[in-house]
Amino acid sequence: MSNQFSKELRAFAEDHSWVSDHFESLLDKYAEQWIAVKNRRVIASDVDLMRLRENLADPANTCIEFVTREPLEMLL
Amino acid sequence: MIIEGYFIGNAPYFPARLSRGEFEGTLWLLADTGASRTTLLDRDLRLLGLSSEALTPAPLPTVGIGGSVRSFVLRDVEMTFASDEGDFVLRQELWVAQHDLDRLPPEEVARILRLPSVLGRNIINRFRFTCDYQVGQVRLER
Repeated sequence: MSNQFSKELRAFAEDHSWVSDHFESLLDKYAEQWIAVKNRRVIASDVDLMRLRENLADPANTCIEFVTREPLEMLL
Repeated sequence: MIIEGYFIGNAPYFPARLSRGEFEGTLWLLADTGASRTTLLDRDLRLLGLSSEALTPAPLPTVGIGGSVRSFVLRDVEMTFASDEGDFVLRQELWVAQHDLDRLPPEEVARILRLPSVLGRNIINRFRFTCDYQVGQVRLER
């Protein structure tokens, strides 16, 4: 099997883990905003998801999360 | 062959790369044994740059908890997962569920955009699926 994308997928997951680990401090700075994280660093933020997307070089392969204090119960 | 997933909060997710001619991107799929089909939702549609004009209406109606959605089908999508043996690739039909966000208040739109796409039984059932929150293990294997 090729390993071409597995490395990128793990890096993507690590960026999300970084967001989880630093969520409280991210809340202080980015509450109610979408953030884009690459290599464990916030590279952009915006209250509007589409505007954030337009400002990213590679939005489809970037960790993007909404930072909020509002809990959300999901029934899918 | 083992595909390791992750718990985000207390929910089991798998990262996947999707690719099909006009788009490619990486996203999280919530492992959802209540969903019959693997389905992309609004946030990932936007991040992947997919517009509903380019989608084929789904041949079957969809129902779920919550508001009404328009459903579409994306055929022949290449899905790549990271496995212990390297890239594991499936060529797969995906469903798309799109809310009519233009008719909703902004706070409701923000909540809907937080909903993840889901990995449904059409893929989960091809594997032995382990979801053990107590030991922090989520995986697909075969």
